[in-house]
Amino acid sequence: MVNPIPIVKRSVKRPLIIMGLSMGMTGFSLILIYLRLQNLRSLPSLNPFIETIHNQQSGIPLEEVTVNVAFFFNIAVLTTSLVPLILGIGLWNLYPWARAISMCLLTSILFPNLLAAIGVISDRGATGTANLGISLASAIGLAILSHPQIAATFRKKRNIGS
Amino acid sequence: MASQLSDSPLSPQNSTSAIPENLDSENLVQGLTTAEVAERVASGDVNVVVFRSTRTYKEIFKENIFTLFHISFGIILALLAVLGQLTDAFFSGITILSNIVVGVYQEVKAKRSLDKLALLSVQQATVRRDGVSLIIPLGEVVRDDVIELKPGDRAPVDGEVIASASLEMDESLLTGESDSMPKQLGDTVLSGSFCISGSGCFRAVKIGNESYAAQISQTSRAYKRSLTPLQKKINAVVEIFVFALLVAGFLHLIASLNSGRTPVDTLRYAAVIINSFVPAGLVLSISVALALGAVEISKKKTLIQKINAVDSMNSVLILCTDKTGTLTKNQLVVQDLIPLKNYDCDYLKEFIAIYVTLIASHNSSANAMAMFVGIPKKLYSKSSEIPFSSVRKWGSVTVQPDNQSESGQVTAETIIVGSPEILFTSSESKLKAQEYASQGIRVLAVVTSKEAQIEIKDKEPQLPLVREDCGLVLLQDEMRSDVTETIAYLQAKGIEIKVISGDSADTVAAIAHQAGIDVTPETMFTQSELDSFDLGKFSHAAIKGRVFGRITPDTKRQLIKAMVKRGRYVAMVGDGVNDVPAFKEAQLAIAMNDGAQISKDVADIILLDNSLATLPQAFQAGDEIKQKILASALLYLTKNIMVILTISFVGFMQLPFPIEPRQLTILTFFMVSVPTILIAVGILKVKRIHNFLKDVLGYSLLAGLIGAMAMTLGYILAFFGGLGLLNIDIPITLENFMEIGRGQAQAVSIMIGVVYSLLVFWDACHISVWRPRTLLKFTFPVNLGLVLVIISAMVMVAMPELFQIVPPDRLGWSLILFLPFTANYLLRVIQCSSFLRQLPHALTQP
Repeated sequence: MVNPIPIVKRSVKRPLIIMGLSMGMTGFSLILIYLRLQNLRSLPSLNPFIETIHNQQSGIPLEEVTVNVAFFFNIAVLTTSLVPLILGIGLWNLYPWARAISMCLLTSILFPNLLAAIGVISDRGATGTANLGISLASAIGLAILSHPQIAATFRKKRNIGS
Repeated sequence: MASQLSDSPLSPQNSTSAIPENLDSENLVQGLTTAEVAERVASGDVNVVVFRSTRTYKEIFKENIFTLFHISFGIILALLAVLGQLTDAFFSGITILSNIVVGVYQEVKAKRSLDKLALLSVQQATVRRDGVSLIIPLGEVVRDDVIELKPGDRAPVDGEVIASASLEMDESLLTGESDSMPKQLGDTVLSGSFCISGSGCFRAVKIGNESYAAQISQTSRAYKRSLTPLQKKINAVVEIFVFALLVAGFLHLIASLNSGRTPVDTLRYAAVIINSFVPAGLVLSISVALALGAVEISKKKTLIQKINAVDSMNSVLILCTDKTGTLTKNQLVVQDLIPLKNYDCDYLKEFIAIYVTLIASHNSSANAMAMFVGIPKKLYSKSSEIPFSSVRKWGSVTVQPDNQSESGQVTAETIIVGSPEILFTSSESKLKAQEYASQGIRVLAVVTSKEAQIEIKDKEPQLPLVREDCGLVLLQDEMRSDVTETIAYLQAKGIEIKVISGDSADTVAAIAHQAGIDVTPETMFTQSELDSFDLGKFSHAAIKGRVFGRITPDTKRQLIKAMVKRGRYVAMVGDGVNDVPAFKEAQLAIAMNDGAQISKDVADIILLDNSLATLPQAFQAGDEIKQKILASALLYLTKNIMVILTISFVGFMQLPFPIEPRQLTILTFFMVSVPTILIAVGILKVKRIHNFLKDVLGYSLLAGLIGAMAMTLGYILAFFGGLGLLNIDIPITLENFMEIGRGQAQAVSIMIGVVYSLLVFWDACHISVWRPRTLLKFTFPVNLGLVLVIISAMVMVAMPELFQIVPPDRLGWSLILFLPFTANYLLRVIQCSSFLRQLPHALTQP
């Protein structure tokens, strides 16, 4: 009777802080998606190729406007809202690519919001306080992902995977 | 500067023996007097030589200004200017102007350096003046000068033969006729032809621009115009781009007509399309890199005569070399004389003394023998001579001794000296010669014949059937000290070394072995063996062989041709007349500075200090130039592909044109032109690129595609984001519908392109943002890149109206930061993936 080789399951323990970050990003993404879906529902038309902008003052014959801009805008933002969701799932699974792209995302949120908060660049969608809040959240997320121990956790996961 | 020539065939001490009998004119021996020369110089009857080692200033200007790209782009710009679009015309014109200024400046600078260096290798002629042979620069030859010719000399002007000692001229470089032309009294010698055997004199009749070579404009130097493999590949890519441009241009015109675009916009976007498709800056950076490379390599005592030789050096797979003068110093000394059969050493010595005294021209072997044996005991007169030829492998003199039958006197009538394999009749003598040859000694056979005259059949001298083996002359030629090291370096670089020589295969093999070349009996071939092979076997032998002995110049040429035909990139190093045919076939011809003038004329590169040791340094420099070219190609092609695909993607979605000409100028100038020029001049060091197709074209296609996706995505999101987020207070009309989002979309898109190009540039410099250590290690490219990006962004944001943009809002900046870095990460992941590695294999499966 040959003894079966014991199967050793190698795994890396997921840090609590990554779990938090992952859930935060997923939640944020879900909120954005919900808001966009609400926006889409409120549109007068969901047909992408018929009238787009209802502006009574424009005097444009409706049949000449072929692109539903608001529809496409919402679809575009809905698509971008999926990014944090995907990254959140990736972070939960400790995928190195998720960490790298999350860092890109958080950096690209942090600096423009900071600049918007101090008035260097314009932001029609948020107030200065909101900009600062978003910057702070991004900075925390960035600090977490840049921490050497967190980086090592992702590397360990990659090594096991390879 | 003239120098007196003591060993000239016409010098006083040699005159009794060497001057042909028909050279009896007093005036001829004297040549022109100093007064006559001065008179001709005063009247301007001088051979004015336009010295051309490089292109003329006119050619440099012409080739840098009047290119197809510049002309077509210039027309578009002129039309834009006429239509009042001066700003667009100016910004687009910067590309052309910077191309021209940088290109002309660098090439003129390179030309000046090379011309100075080329003076070290200036062509000279041997003339007879005041009864003395003088070596003077070609520019000092005057009309009616008596010019001497010996094997290897090139006729500098046209003239009439006034003395001929079996003078044979090779006119193949002028007429294509491969057979040498015997020249008798009164025959015309054409400039550009060279003496292949015998010796003689001719009077200069047509000088300067009147000469044949000047009239046919393309002299021997210009007989070969070949492109290096890298040039061919880049040209092919440029041709594909130009072809795609024609298609895109046509589609652009149709689309413009259908969409009702104004003529001004049609022209503006045509400028963008042309600028995106034609990598004109790439051609510029290649010519700059080659020109500077030629100067750089010239510092290693290597004169580049053809500019693309710089790149050529890097492609060499096989280096064929002559033995004498390249592996060895060509300073032959007689080691010993070995008498054979009934002859003793004194007899043999006397035969050799007679031979070397009576022959008209001396090669290095004859000089060595003359030094060793001295003068003959008795004076003999010569009845005829067959000069030594590397094709025949032998030479002879027929003598008429005064007391032929006296005891102790020479009784032979014809003395023949040459290759033992050809001259010896007994196998015993041949075996003995082979024994010495296998020790690396150069062996010459001395035989005699009773025949009073060498028979000439079909212009070819026939070896007498009855010959008597007299002895062997053992010549030692010292190997150059640096050869072993050089050969080892070249072999380590993957270059196969082959020695092709007129000497015995055993001698060559022994020298090759000493030099570190692995020679086995299977890799040794002789002329007779090659002669017996059919075409296929010959070609196989050319590839397999390491040592080729007793090879005639034509077979040498055929061997090189066979190697080239089998796809090898072949370089040939030589120094003699016999190497010239092989030089014609080789893709890279390298001559020694002390070699025959004609070999230097046709060579791509001249080793000024006659040492092979400079080759590794030159190869190294050539490699660096190639890397610069490849890095420049990578940056240009990536940018071009990225912009072309962005235009296509955005056009496919029927959105407004994504890039304005002036925005493209910012992207090209700051993120591609500045780095490539810094790379070309050597300020920036780039990572090693091995393969053009995979590492440059493959990378550019992938990086360009991903970059275009990022730019397009950024454009779309910014375009619709701008529309959706704007609190628009103005009524939306059909005209401003497309314009509202376009300003920010273009700003976001072009800045994504700028940041992405920065990451590609860093990648070329071995820097990756995903490996932070590299950012700290290579600080100069990091800082430079950041400065360039900041300047690009600030220039556009500070002058939004000029650049036709709307400064991006928070969403725009987020996209500018997020998309290029994510795209770069995606590129990295794809590059590292096994999918990409296995793709070529998968595609080639049946």
